[in-house]
Order: sequence, then C-alpha cells, then structure tokens
Amino acid sequence: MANSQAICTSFKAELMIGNHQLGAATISSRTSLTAPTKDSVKAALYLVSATYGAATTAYSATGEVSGTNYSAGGVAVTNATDPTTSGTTGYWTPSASIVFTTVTLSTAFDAVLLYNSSQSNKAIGVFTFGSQTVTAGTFTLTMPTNDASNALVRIA
Amino acid sequence: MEISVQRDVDGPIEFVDDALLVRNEIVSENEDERTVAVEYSFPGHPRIVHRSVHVHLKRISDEMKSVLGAIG
Repeated sequence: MANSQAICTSFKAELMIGNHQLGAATISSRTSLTAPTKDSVKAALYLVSATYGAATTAYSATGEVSGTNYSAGGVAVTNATDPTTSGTTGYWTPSASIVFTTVTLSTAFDAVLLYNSSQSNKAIGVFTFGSQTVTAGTFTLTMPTNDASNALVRIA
Repeated sequence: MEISVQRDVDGPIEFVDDALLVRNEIVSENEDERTVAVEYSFPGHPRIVHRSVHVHLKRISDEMKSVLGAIG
C-alpha cells in the first residue's frame, strides 16, 4: 500500500452538511452563526509507508513523520483567502506556503494531510509529492495557483 | 551565512558558516511539481548534515480532477 492523492470522500459529504467552514460566511438561517469565524486548518506529513487517501476521514498520528522539531499534528495552515468560484468550479487554496522549519525527518515521507482542526480533525485532502527527507533544514510546500484550473481543492 | 546542521543522526542542531561546507543543489521537475533540494556536507565527508526541500505544487493530478468531476 502507499499514500494516494485524493479529496477525502468524507469531506465531500461533510461539505454538504456544513461540517467545514473554510471561509467566513453569514448564514441567516442559523442564528448562532450570524458572526461566524473560520475553522482552523492544519497540515501533517506522512511517511511513504503510510496509507492515507480517499478513505481517510480524520487526522491520525499513525504513519505520521517524527523527528527533531516536528510536532505531532503538524503545523497551522494560513487561510486568508475564502473559497470562491469561477465558472462552474468552486475552489480553495491555502494562502501561504506550508513550512516546517529546522526539522530533521530522516524517514522518507511523500504526503501531506490537510485537516480541519476546529471540527474534530476531520480530513480535507491528501496531497502527494516526490519522496523526501530533511536534515536540520526546512521543508516548504508552496501551493499551486489559486484558480479554477490549479487550486488545491476544486469542486466542479 | 550560517547553516543549520546536524552532524550525527540524533545529535543537536547547530549553526555553521556556509564557507566551511560543500553545497549541492538538486532540482527535479515534472508537470505536477518542481522540487529544489539544497544539501550541505563537510568537505571530505559524505554525510549530509543539512538538507532543505522546497516543493512547489504546480497543479493537482488528473486523477484528483476526475474524482472531483464525479460530484459535479
């Protein structure tokens, strides 16, 4: 088994029942949400040997990287840009690179899980890249262009 | 410029002037990502004491697009 890139199936259903709120929106039918705040998103790294993908429903420490200066659960994701649409596509991308500073991750990793730390760590998506290790260095994951063709999360 | 290094696998991270180190940059690119890895080692020693990686996700794969398309 290996990690596989996917928008998590659970996330698709959770979107429809309002479990995730990646941008601020006033929902008039829910008086408790008339002044909403955004949920917080985090990013965790996973080993090549892990098996995260479409079936992932929430963050788990199983298969997560470990090493100097890496904290279980990963790092906060900067989310300054609300989801938006273009044509028939809705899309969202973190507004800044995801950075793990001065870490040592000696066992190869190839996936990052984005998850909603405000909503019981529910999974958003697993994104894969070429296998990497880091030694006393910084791992930076720069996001794709936030548009209908390239954004990290797109629903068409 | 000082570079953070780890001389031993589980040793402490310390800072060393980059003039004392050998720098190696590895660039790989495909349609999905561009990756730049910068490695440092001490002259005459093969062990990499610093490795930083910058992965630029250029786009999400067609496999991801098709999954999303199924709910459109």
